[in-house]
Amino acid sequence: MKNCFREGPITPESIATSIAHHQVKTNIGAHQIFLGQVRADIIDQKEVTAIEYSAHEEMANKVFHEIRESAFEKFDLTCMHIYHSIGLVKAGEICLFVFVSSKHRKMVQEAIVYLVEEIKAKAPIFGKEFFADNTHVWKENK
Amino acid sequence: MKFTVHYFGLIAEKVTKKSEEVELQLSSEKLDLHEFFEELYPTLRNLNYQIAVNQELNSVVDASMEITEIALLPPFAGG
Repeated sequence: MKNCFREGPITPESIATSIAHHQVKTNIGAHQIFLGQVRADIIDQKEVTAIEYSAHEEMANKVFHEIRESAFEKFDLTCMHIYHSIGLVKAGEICLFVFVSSKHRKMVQEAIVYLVEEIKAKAPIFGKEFFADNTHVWKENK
Repeated sequence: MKFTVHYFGLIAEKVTKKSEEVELQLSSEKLDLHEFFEELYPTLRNLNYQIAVNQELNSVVDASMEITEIALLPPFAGG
């Protein structure tokens, strides 16, 4: 099973490298990328400074695999990558990178919406939102 | 019989552990794991959480099932 988790934030450099790797795949005509970024939410007048992600990693990787398989069935995609952070990610840093490629734009536009919604709903990932005073609350996807 | 139970996020915080071996008496009758764990840890009663058995969401078990792992999962926050 592929490990979709990366320790800490997903760096802009790694995203650029991933895009560059696709330049040899000249049958691709459209990429679509979704980046999830840690938001400095204000909760009870305190600002979120970071999220510490934890997960049932083995189950989450299985879920990512199932989501990938179902997306390949639903949409005519050339390739697909999902990376999610584990551990501490500061506000403003990237915690989710979803990257789909296809011949034409319509497929990737539909696929990215499907993938992100599926990941948020089904992957057993948990987020501890830290404030500057080191207290925390647990995040919950809406 | 003893089973490995994993606790995550808020649930791990409430039961003050990440995993443990738990004794479960399984029979042909269905056992609701939410009820079982809420009796074991009353602090879970007002919480929203899902249970995964062998890494599949499911909270009702009986003796016919081969259980390798149980996990208590608080609300998801990925992305």
